[in-house]
Amino acid sequence: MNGLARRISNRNFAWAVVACVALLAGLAALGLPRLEQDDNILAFLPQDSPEVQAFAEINQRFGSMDMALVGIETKDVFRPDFLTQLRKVTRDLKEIRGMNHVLTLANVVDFSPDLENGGMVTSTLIPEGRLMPAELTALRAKVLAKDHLVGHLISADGRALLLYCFLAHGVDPRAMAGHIRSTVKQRFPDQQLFWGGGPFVSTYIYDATRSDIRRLTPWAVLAVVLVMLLAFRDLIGVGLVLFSTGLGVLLTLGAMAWFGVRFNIVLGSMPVVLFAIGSAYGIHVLTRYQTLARETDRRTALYQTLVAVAPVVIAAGLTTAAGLLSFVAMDIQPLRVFGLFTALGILTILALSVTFLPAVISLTGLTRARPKTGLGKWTARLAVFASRRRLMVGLCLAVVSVAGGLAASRVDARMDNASFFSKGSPPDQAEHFLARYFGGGQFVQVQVKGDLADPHVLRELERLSGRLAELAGVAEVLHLGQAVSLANRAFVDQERIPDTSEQVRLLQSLLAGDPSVAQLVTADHSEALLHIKLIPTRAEAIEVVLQSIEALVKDDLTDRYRVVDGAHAGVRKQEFESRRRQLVLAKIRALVRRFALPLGPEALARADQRMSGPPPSVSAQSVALRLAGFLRSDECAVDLAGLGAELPSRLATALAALGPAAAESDLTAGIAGQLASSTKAIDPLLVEDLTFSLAAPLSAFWREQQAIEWARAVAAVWPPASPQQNPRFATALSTAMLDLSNPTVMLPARPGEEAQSLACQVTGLPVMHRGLSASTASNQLKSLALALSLIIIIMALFFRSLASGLLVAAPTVLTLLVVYGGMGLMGVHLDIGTSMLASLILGAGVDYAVHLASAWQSEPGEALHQAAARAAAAAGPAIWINAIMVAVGFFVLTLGEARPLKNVGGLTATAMLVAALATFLAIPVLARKRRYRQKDYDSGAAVEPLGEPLLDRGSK
Amino acid sequence: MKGNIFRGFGLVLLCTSALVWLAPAEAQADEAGAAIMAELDSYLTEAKDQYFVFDMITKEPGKTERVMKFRVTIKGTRFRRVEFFAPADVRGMRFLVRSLTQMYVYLPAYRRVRRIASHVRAQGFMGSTYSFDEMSIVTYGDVFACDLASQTDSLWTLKCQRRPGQDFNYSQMEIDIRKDIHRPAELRFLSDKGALLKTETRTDYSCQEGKHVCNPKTMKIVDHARAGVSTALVCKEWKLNQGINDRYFTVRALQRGK
Repeated sequence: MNGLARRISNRNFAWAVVACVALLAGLAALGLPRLEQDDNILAFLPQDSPEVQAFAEINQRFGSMDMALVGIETKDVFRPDFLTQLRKVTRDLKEIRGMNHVLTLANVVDFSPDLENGGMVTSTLIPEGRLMPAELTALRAKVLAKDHLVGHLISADGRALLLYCFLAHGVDPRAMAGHIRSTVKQRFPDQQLFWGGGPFVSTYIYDATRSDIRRLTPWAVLAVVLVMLLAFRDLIGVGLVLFSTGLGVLLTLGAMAWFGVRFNIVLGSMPVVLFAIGSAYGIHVLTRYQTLARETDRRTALYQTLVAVAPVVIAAGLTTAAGLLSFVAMDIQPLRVFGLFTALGILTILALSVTFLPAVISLTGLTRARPKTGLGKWTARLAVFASRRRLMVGLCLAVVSVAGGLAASRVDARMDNASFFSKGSPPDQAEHFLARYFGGGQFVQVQVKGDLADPHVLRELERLSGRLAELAGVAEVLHLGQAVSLANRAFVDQERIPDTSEQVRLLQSLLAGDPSVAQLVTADHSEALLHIKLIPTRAEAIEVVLQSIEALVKDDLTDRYRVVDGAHAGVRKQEFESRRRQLVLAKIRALVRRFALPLGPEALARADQRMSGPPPSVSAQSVALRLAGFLRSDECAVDLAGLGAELPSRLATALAALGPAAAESDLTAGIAGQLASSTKAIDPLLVEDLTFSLAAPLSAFWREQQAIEWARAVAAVWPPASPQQNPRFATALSTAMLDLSNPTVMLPARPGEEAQSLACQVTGLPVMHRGLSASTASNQLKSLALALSLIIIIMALFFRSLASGLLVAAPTVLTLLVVYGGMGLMGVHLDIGTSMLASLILGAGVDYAVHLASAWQSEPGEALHQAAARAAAAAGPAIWINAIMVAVGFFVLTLGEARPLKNVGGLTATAMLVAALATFLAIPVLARKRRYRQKDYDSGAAVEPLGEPLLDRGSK
Repeated sequence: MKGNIFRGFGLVLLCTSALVWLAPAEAQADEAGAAIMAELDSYLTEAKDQYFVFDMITKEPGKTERVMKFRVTIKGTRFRRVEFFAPADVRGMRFLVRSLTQMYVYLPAYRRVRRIASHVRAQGFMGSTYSFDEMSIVTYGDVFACDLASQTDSLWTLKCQRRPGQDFNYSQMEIDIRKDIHRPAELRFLSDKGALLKTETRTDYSCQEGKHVCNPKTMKIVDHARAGVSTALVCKEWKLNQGINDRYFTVRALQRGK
């Protein structure tokens, strides 16, 4: 260091240093335009967590995070002007470049039976044109009676709507969120709007953090500057330190640009960190120089400053860099980059503080002396007090440490939405909107692997969904079976999972390409998701529901199964019947829940008992009526109109009389017989066509009539206030009863039996949060251990004593206990932001102890408290000024909106002040040596004299 | 808030309304429009009947390419029949379109015919970028009023506005028409605000009966809103004027597959 100190006093060398720095700064500035922004918020997910990996994989496969939700709260959805605007906004949204699909009440397709011609009619649910009051009333009743829309697209009271925007693959979610927001605001300027879903939430987190950083960084730097100006009252000196620090920031950013490292959102806080912490090095140099400049000439003062202070500043800087470097132990890539490059920034500023800054002082002849403050005296009193009353102060510190440790043990790692956004923020408002009008805004998914084209698997998932929906805290469960059932209804008027794999495959193919169906099943039918909507919003309550979901999925699912045909069930016949009834009972339970009926377990048991009895009889007349309707419809392949008006009825009666199990040959004969009475020449092809045409409907009519009778029989065993009075319930119950005639059923495979498998795994955001929490806790421990180890090693080397290294680390450990204890008491959780605290505090806070210990010295015969007084008086002002600077700089971050930034800002600010105080209490209590460094830190007495003037040619 | 939710079961009706794409547009008298369009329309309706075999290939970024194969038989401007033979899940499915309100689908897995009257025309067909409107349009002059915007040695470019009363999905269209065969080379569909929504290109024309009946080997629509998702209809076989009987376009024939 002597050599450097001597050379810096040389003007030529000083010019060379300045020129080199200027050159490097120029190169860095040239590189800045190459610095790219990394907007990917998902990069903050730890790469090693299995839960997080599963979440990311499922998100990619099912596109879960690519859906933006827009909520609209209004007085009444069913107003002509509102519906007109809704139609327009639906069209506008669809036309946004990057929009895959838009689903709103305005474009949802409705279908209804065509009673006149047979088949069905499809149209948009909301008709075009301006509706009259009576039409609006009818529309309201129609829409709110649709269970698959209420609670999904519209609230039950008709006051809230949800618009679903499915983004195309690979588009920028932030840009899309902006387009969607402006489009909707333009159409609904006066309505209360809510923005939810992955694109809006990630955009909010990113934008809020970036906006805070952009908005607050200048204020934070200004606050730091003001503190410095107040402390030094030297515009030029302060300007010089800030310029030097600014150059360090520039060089670091330039290095990132030239190395192709992208600038992520956490790195946005780097300038604040570097200015607040890094400018301390320049301050120590400047303070010492100004102190010495009062007593000696400029060159000597500079020389002595560097010899005495530079090693201490370097040691302090190295500990800070070590603390930041410990971030590389984390499994979150952006934090690793932050740690690495902020450490590089600290080292760069450090290097500039002991080269560039002295070089400029040397060239400019900056000599203004720093005004004295009372800080040194006041701090010296504090240190002396602690040193003289070691036992009492030590005991107090021990008590604080133990209390802090106990309170710190309450700090748990908990990542949930509250970790990212505050109450009242747009995502929080959206969550409450969803909870208020749509039953909940939090979802858990169950990933299913198996043959999702197998109707038995779909029925098993339907049963499992029913069980899950019964759990406390679950609002509803959405599954593939519902979509397939609705499609089945469109084709055969039965809202149920069809009987064969071919039918399921056909329906799924027809649904292919629909983004909302794509969130339920993969194109190859091998994987599906159940979406479980949760009622609670708080993480603790969600965790409880999550555990019950996991337990149920684990215990209740039939994971190895065989499909058994009832006709060939053999010894498993009873098991077959029982299982079939259980499936129907599960459906009835779901209906009871859906219609909020007062039917308890006893009623269900009676229903089960009835279903195990003989089937009710079915009237052939009712089947004949329906068949006659079919024969008259356009769906019948053969037009019978020309063969007599009575023929359809006669034919239907004759065929129904053949019973439900009539063979095709019997049907053919029956048809031929009836046609013979109407026409002389019977076309065999016509008979064949008619047989083919009516065989499937006839079979379906028998089955449906049987189900209707079953529904009546079951409802008959229930209390008098029978729910079958509700026509919607009666229809749904009849449809459920269709499954009593399923020819095949899934049964658990017996040991050793050849079987098919079905696997389930609970996933989703809450599960991912759990993985993230575990990762955060692990990151915290790993980085803390690494930082502490590095710091103790550096300090042990610097002070050439392990005990001294531990002594210097002690105040910061105490600070950590206090800060984490405070977090425990205030209920602040460990999250991505707060997990950075420990290493940051450790690295920056230990500086104070380094400076105090370096200044610690007493002459033989002097008491230790005189060493404390001397050290505190010498190092105290700089330490306090730095602590206040860092605290003020970080405190400014608490004024923002981004929750992680607020937590880190507030806690770091507090920690720096606590660290300074702890230093002046703990070191005097624990220090037992007369000095910890070989050379005098303060007086410069041990500093070697300046060399020959020839080394300083430039100054001549 | 968690993003992934399934709702919108109403859109399962995609499968039902999908039938509409086969519907021929209501022919209207071409009132004045550009002479070019009139000539184009006359050429487009020249054949008495046509038979095609298509591969329909949909490419979507991040997803596996989807291929469907089907036969289309058209008679005049009203009757259409479509039969799918790949992939296996839809093999044997047949559509019959007799008019906008007379559509039927035969579902082999159910062994029955379903009649569907659909009034939904703006939706895509089975995940493709072709909407029912683009698939069903036969003549353009009755839907759009067009001006000749520019021309080169080989192309006319017309800018068209949707005629009042027409409910075609797009209010504006630009069409490049080849001068040599008088057929569309490219169609660009635009929004009310003039934003380009879809581009359809028709390439590799082959002609029969002079230049009166021409057919592109490939028709491809790129949906710009959906970040470049595209569907190509590749014509594998084309026959015309086979004298197909009207009885081929009946429910009985649909059911029998003959």
